Amino acid sequence: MGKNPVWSWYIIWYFFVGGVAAGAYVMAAFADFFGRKEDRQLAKIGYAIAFPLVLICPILLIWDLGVPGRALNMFRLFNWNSPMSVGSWVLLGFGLVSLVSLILVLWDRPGAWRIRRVLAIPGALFGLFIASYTGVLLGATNRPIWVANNWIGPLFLVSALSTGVAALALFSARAKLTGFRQVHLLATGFEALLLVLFLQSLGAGATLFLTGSFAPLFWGGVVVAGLAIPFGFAFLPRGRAVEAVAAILVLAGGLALRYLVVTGGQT
Amino acid sequence: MAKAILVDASKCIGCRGCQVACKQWHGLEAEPTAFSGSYENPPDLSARTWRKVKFIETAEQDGATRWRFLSDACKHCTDASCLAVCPTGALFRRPWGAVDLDQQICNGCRYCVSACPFGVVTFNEETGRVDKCILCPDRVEAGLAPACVTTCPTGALSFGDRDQLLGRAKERVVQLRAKGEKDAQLYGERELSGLHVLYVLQERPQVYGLPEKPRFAAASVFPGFLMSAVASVVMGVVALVAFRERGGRGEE
Repeated sequence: MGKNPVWSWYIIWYFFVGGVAAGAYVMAAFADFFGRKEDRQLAKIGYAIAFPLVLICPILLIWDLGVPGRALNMFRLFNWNSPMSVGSWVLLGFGLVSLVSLILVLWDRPGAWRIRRVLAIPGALFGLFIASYTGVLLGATNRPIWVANNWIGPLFLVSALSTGVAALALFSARAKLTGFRQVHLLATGFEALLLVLFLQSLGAGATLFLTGSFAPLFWGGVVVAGLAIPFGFAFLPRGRAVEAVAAILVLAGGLALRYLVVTGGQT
Repeated sequence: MAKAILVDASKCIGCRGCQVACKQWHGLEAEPTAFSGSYENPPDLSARTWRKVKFIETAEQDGATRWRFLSDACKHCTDASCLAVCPTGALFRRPWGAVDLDQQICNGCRYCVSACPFGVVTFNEETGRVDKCILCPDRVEAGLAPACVTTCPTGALSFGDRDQLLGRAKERVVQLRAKGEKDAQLYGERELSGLHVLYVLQERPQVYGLPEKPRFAAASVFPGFLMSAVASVVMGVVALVAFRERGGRGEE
């Protein structure tokens, strides 16, 4: 086993915020491609919130390194074997694309939608990568819980899209959630399935989450707050208050999931 | 020509000369220590202790206790997880096999710390970078053996061409088995495509705290991304269906 890398709150918050940014952007792109005209209003909000959130990411990562200038060493080379190396480059690319997307939202001419949609192709691909590579990175270590686990990437990915929709709902103001509601409902089911597969792959190690010291946060935060209640709320009469509460619970569940997985490999 | 250190545990007397020689050559400070229930000290490899002697007590069938010693440090794996996942290029390979570390380039991300299957690479709180045994490239490239090998008084440590040492190690295992050491075995020939530190052990690797099947961390990168790509496609289809198939005439 490798020693404990001591990845603490900076890294946990980065995994979370990066996931929300990527999730909001990817969902916006999905809406622009698959949705109807009425979905575009919310898609614009997705592009608009992605960039400010992405800006927080390097701050957290540089803070974790301690000496700011050293962060530049991430860009000395490109290492296919290292999710951290590829992730650094893609984060840079995603930041640039999401900045242009934000500009195209602010510069809202009749033709802007078409340019936004073209740009959303590389943007969504980068976003899907950012949403999942943090989980692949953990799998490519020799720490308990993480080692050789191929479910963390997909789990973080779907959770990121789910928290992305939640952030959209909070910032949606008067815009209707429309088609996003159904996507989120299905994503919640998919995330629950991936969570079961992840726990199953841990074998006896899963007891840390199911019955061990992490159990209260796992059951309360991830399962009940992050998945079950928002799923149930989808069948309630729709209203701003219900939507806002569900969105906050989904975000809290996403943060709890990252805290548990990141900390679980270090106990 | 690939070089290697041969650690013959059957010849080690636990004098810790290698541990101290390493500290002297590399200018590593002593560590404040405490009694941990064993003569082994410090309890683990660290940023200031790149090589240490493990003291292992085994209970024999006749009720006696027996010492096993193992001079332990970085194994300079061919499939080196630390080097594979390093995002900066700070960890790099010497042509003769050593996994070296450029302190000027390391930015302290600690990925290698979590990736090393042997728990060797350690974060240094003072420098904000990582540390580990670098196999004395300054000495080796000047034609000398590493400091630990040079100081070893019993021949438990030797340095040279990996192929030659491999032959010697195999002979030694045969010799030990002939003397009745039925668990005598070689470690490092094939593990992680070959370590540049070979071990002649008298017990199973686990007794010495060595993993039976050390794992190359970067082996999980491709399957991890593949699974994530599949999940991405699933979510794309979910979004396509959900956005297209909902309620027909708008919803409110």
